[in-house]
Amino acid sequence: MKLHRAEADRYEFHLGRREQKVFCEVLAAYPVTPLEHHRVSRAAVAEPDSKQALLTDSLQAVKAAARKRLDAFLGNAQRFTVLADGYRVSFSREEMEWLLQVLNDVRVGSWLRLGAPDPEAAKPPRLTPETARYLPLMEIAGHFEFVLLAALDGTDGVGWAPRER
Amino acid sequence: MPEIAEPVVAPGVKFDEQTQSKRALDPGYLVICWNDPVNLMVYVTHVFMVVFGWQKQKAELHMLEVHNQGKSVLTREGLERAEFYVHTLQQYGLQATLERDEA
Repeated sequence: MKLHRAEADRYEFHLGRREQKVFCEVLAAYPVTPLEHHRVSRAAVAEPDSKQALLTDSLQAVKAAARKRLDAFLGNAQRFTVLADGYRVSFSREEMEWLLQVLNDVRVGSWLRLGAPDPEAAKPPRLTPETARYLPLMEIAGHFEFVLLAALDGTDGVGWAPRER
Repeated sequence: MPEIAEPVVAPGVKFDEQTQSKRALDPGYLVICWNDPVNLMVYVTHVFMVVFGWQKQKAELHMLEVHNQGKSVLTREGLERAEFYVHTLQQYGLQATLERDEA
């Protein structure tokens, strides 16, 4: 997936044939992150249940709307223009933000299914026949996120590296 | 001969009581973002820029604080505004919480 053109509020990408299939499969996995993952507080003295309930209800509504929107997107063959060597698709700025949220939900949810691996703590992913599919899902979702972020930043991705301090 | 002005009585204890009671009613909440090994650093920076309208430099400073210190206090707000920020950050998949400002 490569940025082809960015003009005003629209970002146009080129995808290879297999890449487009993978992109759609990653999106179709949404939602992966369970609602229980979202906690309103970590304080020793717990916040009232109403605050947690408000967050859960809010995210439940957001995820339901996003799933509905995804179904419309994935079901609309017109969104991808067929080329000789792949596909072209364009997104508005608002769609880019929406896609980032969807892709990151897939990434975070996959990470949770893998037992929350942490390379810095030498905690490997929990790989079983049931969880194995989440490892590529996590990595590929991150790859697509990176492409969208680089397009929004107007760089090829290098510009995202924090400056040396 | 100029008149002697009456001494101005500074609002003392009474004002302080009012301030304290107002603070007790609305103590203020800290919006905190916590580190995790899954959210991309560039993604966290982007989300801070979008949600708070920060310049990239400020967003990166908070992102690095999350990464290096384990958490970053992003803002202090009243309950309603703090909840709005936490909900939005969680919508993006960041581990953000609100904690009472005890200070």
